[in-house]
Amino acid sequence: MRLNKIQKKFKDTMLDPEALDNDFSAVFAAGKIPAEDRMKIYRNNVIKSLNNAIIVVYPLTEKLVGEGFLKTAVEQYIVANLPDQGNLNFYGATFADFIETYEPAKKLPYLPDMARLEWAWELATLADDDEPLDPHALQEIPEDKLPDLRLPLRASVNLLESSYPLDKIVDFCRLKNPEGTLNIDTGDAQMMIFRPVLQAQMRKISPGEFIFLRALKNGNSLMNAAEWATEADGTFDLAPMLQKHLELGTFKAFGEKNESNITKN
Amino acid sequence: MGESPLNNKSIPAVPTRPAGIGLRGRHYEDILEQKPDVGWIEVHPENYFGGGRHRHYLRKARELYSLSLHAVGLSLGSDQPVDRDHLKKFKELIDIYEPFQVSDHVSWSASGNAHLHDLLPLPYTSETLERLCNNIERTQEYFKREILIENPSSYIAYAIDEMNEWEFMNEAARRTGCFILLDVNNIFVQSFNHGIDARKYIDNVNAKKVREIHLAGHTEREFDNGKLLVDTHNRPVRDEVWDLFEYTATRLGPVPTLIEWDGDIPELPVLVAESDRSQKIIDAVGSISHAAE
Repeated sequence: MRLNKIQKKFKDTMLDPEALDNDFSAVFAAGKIPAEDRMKIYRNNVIKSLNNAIIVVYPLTEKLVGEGFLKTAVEQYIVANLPDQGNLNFYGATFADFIETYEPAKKLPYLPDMARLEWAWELATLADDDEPLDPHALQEIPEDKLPDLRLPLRASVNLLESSYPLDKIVDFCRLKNPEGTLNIDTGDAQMMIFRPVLQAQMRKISPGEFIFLRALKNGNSLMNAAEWATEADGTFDLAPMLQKHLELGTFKAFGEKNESNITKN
Repeated sequence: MGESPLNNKSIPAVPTRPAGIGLRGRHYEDILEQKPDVGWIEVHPENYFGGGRHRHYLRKARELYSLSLHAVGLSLGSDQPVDRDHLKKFKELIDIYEPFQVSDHVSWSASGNAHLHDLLPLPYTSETLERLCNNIERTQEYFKREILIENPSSYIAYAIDEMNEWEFMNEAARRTGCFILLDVNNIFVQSFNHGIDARKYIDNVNAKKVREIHLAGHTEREFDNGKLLVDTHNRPVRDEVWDLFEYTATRLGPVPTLIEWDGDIPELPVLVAESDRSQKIIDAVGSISHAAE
């Protein structure tokens, strides 16, 4: 049997050791311990390491549904979605989508967004290092150039919008001994998840702020971003908003040529 | 933007003391505070592909110790070329952290688009050897340096093998110019699981090619019809493996030797004490192996 076929069959059999066929078992040396049992060691190793890699990303989701529930869901996810890369850092990106279709989780409609929030936290934690924009950098830009300015966000900035009050659910999960019940019909939430230096953070932002930052993240001009934010949210005020995010370090430092961030219409 | 190369050039590239330890996230703060007397540290590059705290602590630790990058994700033995993206990210780390050596395993984990994240066993055939050597060569060309390849632990053996494991390792090293990372615990596991003579293995591996040794703890797994040893890296090195290490050190002389501990990781001083034990053995047999040269 050629190596290519051996590796394909090994992969399939490992996921389902009972399905070891005669053709394939002839490839292996006979021993006292049957090949099925030996395959189970590999299956356990693989499932365990993938399971650990995903579960560690979802501590709050785990708190909401319990360890056993999450483990079972993750195992089903793994078998249908094997990793496609040789590093596990970004494995599990589609787990929230899986949760959305996962029957036992249907009675918890906020769960997929909680998983998305924790995934965004993971992305922020692992994002490439980059430098924040110097808060004084905008002062050097001529006023007539400001409307066309592009302000890219740092690599770690992730934005998430949900119909559920994710911030309140997070606070509830983080209580040592949560008591009572939390009303989840108290409105939507816009969240910003990012990593200023080493530790990721999440914060609730206003609806206008969300539209503003999303527009900048997508490469739109400062003027367009501010206009869209104001249209959607009457409370949006550009100057303090810029100041806030310059201080937070939301924007990415300009490249070597400042001009590259200004494009002519 | 990324990171600039290290500023601190005072740490020699090559360790001055053979005994090293694997650095894991749990010990990031401790190693910087305690600065234990170990010769070098080793990490899995895959854990440093992103930015943030992992790279931050690796940079600080690298300012104190020589470093080896020991990969788990190249899948050198797959019937498909090594992933270019993986090579690219790995090379970026090599350029930043200036390791004294880089390595991966004689095993496979990728088949098609699926990556199984385990060190799966290879049949030792001429076809496999060719595939493995092609991937080692691709990697060495990309890195512009030789790599080390590590002998695996395995729980199933192939009836279609055309050569034994040490012949396979030696031949891969001969053809590609790569070096060998000899995992003494894995040899012990192989000897138990597949009835191989461990000392004969050590006698026959090409000593000139061995540039690193690994030691780790393993676990017994009971089945209805017998038991197998599993390479779990979650406990101290077993006495039988220390004996085999002494035999190895006598034959090979001082070679950078690492304690790997990945599960149920103890306090740093416990890990360092294991490392000291390997150093004592290397020192004790040093005069013997020197006399034999």
